[in-house]
Amino acid sequence: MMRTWAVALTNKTFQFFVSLKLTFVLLLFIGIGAVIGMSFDQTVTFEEFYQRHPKEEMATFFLSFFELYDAFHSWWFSLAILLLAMNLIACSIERLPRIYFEFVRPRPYLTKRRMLGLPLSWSAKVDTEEKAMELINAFLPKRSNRARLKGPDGFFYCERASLARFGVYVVHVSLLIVMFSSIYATQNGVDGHVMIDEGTMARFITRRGHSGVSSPYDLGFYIGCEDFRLRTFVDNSPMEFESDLFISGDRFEKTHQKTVRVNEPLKFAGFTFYQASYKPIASEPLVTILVGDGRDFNERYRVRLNEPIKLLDSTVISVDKIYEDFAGLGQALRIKKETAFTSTYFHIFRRHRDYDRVVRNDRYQVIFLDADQKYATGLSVGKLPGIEAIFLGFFILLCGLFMCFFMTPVRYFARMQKVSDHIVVSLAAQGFRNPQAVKDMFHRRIKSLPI
Amino acid sequence: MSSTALYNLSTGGYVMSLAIFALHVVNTRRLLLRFGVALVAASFLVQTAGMVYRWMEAGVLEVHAAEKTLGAALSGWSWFVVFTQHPPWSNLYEIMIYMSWGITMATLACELKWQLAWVRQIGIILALMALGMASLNDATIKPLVPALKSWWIMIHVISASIAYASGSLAAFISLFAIIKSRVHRTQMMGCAVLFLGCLIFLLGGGLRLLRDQAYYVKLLSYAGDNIRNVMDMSKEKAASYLIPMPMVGPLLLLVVVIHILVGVFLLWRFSKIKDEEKLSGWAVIACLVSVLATGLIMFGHDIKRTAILVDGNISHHLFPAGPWFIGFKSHPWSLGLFIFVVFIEAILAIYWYWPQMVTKRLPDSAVLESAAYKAISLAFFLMSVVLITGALWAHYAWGRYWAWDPKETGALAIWLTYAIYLHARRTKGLSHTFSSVIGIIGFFVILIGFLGVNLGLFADGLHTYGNS
Repeated sequence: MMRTWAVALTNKTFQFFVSLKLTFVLLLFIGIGAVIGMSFDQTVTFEEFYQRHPKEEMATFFLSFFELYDAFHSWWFSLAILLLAMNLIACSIERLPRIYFEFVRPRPYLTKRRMLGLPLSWSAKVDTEEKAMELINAFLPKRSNRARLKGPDGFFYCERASLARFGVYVVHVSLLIVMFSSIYATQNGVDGHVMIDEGTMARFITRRGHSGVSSPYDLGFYIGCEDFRLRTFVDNSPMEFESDLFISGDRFEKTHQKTVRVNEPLKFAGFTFYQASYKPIASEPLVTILVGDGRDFNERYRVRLNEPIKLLDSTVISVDKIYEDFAGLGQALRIKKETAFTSTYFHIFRRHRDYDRVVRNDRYQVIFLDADQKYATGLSVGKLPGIEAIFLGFFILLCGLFMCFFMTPVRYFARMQKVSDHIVVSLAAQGFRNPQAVKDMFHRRIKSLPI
Repeated sequence: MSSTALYNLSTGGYVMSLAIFALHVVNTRRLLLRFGVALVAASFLVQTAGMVYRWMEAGVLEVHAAEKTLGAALSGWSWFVVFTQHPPWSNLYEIMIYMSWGITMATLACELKWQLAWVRQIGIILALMALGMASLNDATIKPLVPALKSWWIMIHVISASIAYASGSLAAFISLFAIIKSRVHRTQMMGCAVLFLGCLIFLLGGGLRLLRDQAYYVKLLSYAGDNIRNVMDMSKEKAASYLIPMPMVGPLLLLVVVIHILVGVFLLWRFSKIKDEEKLSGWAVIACLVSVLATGLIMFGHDIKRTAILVDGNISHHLFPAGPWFIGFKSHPWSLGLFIFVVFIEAILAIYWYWPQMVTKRLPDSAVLESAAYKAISLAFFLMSVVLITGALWAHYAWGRYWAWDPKETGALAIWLTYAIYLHARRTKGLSHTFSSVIGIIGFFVILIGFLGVNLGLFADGLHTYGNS
């Protein structure tokens, strides 16, 4: 009795999960949930969210019960995803065997009874067997992935794109791979951020946790920034920014070095460090200038303000002042030039590199390359175990979708039957997707028959 | 010659072809139709040339900027990389141009395959709307921000635009499939009007209206011949300082109430009287007029605001920054939505009064439904490509393959809508009319996912650099 009850319950549960209507409802629920989640800022922390939204009791209850501050990790959204995963698994279990057996045992004979069940069929009377064969050969596609079958009593059969019938399953399997590997990556991965001043190192990063709550995370090694460079266009918008990063152990020895840029990260010990942002820090700026005599001497200097540069003929130059915008000509430097007897000043412009050579025409020309404000480099730190599985899932998903939308499985049936003094040729087709397109194709084939 | 001139030329071509298609409604000569389609194709080629030219213009600018910054001339492979790294779909202006290009391509493909009446007109109107939206944005080419310097931008944005274009067209094919499928006119009108009422409330700022008890628009400042958003210097970007707009709040609610009442009335009437002869057209006209009136009052307010903002000779400044321009810049979402609702209601009104004129040219509903299915299948496939390439790009650029960023989530919502459509088609007991309705809703989800973030309906996300 107990067993019967348990079987009935299992059956009912299974029937609930194999329902396509459940898929429909869940997809709708997740879609609406996604739009609701979009309407609330998900990047803020739990406290910030409460400060921004109304303080009424009902509103507070509503926001906290549905966890709208972290809608995409909330209980209701996770539950919907979980139910969808179970729905996918149940549907696959229920429908796969049927499709598999249909695939391996396709019932190729076009009997009279079978013909009644096929909406796309056509018959004609011909005089000779040759003519009947000509019609059948013209109807059956020349290229098909199943060998043409000539059965007893004049049955013919072939099938195109039969493997595409598994397209939906491939898509579902890929979605399950993506779902489960994402859950694994989220549970076991690290998603954090660190700001490192130029010339310093960091061992702890800020890890983003559930509900926007951050916590420190020990990397187990040091990550340092030797230098940060920001290249800007003439309008001061950033063209490119990069950091010279290094990894060091507890003894501060550099074990790994790389220059990272946006789209070019550093990978080490399962962690990936991405160039994400930067911010200027309050400190004395460094200036890069190029000093040359137009012939052999051409030297690049990176100096602080008033730091002397001694040139060959006992001339000493130093950067006296930095202008962010000199009379609308952009960033400029005032250079102090000292010889044994004189002390003079001149200006050079970052935007006009030939200015000093053309205008001052001195023995040494100075070119203003860069004024390096000290920066802190912003690195996004990620450790996603199982990311390869997610990408594999994506690849399988694309393959499955291609099978679903660009391949239509069609079965072609033909029968040649001798009736008294003539031969009846019956032709039929059965599509498993896209009925209108299959219907059009069938009528095109019938129209093109040599009759 | 510049890319903008080529775009203007193609816009002229589209307008002319639309006029020819309108003429074809009364004079059904095949030659006229062929000429119209040929003109669309020619304009499409001109627009393509414009995009290629803009790519070259941007390439020259990028090379020049890079050479100036680096202080050395680029050559060989490095020149090629810098020259080609700025495709003509890197900001909202270019994206909208590209969208119109995609819609025209989808319309031409549809014309070649099915020759569906009305779809060609709708396609061209949508393309012109996208071009109109583009004209509201800054057309100057600016150097590409570092995050967009990736080859992923090519496939990611190309797929997105074609998916949105084919999804948009599919929505209208689905609408025609419903019209053709003998759904009772009163029932269809009732549902449509109810849906549009809810849409105006949700997307036109209804929730914000209830929360703040006022309808707000962006405060704009006048600078030279351009209207600019007020700058928030601390964030170095345009900030949305909002000012309340009197009258519009109550009017917006009135429009919603009219739509809901009319919708409920029509559905009630359908349940009582199922006689096609006794239709009451005033209901639909009331909806149309209410939306139009509210939109015009908004424009009226903007004209007054222009007079306050613009110094000196106002008429001198009306072009290009006229009141319509200020209106769109200060509340692009609401006005865009209003124009769209008027457009849909105009189609419904035409169908209400002259049903034979609309339906007699349409093919069988099964053909329309099949065409919509194909277009949505393509959109679904391409949306999958968008999500996958976006995840890969985000992984390599930001270290997070999925961040629930509003734009990402919007793309997922579009994907889910089309997944629902595909499942609804296969669910026993659900008619094709039902899946067609989801196909139509897909268009609005595209609007939310694609434009909602850019036009400030949702929170800022990682994609907001594409705004300007």
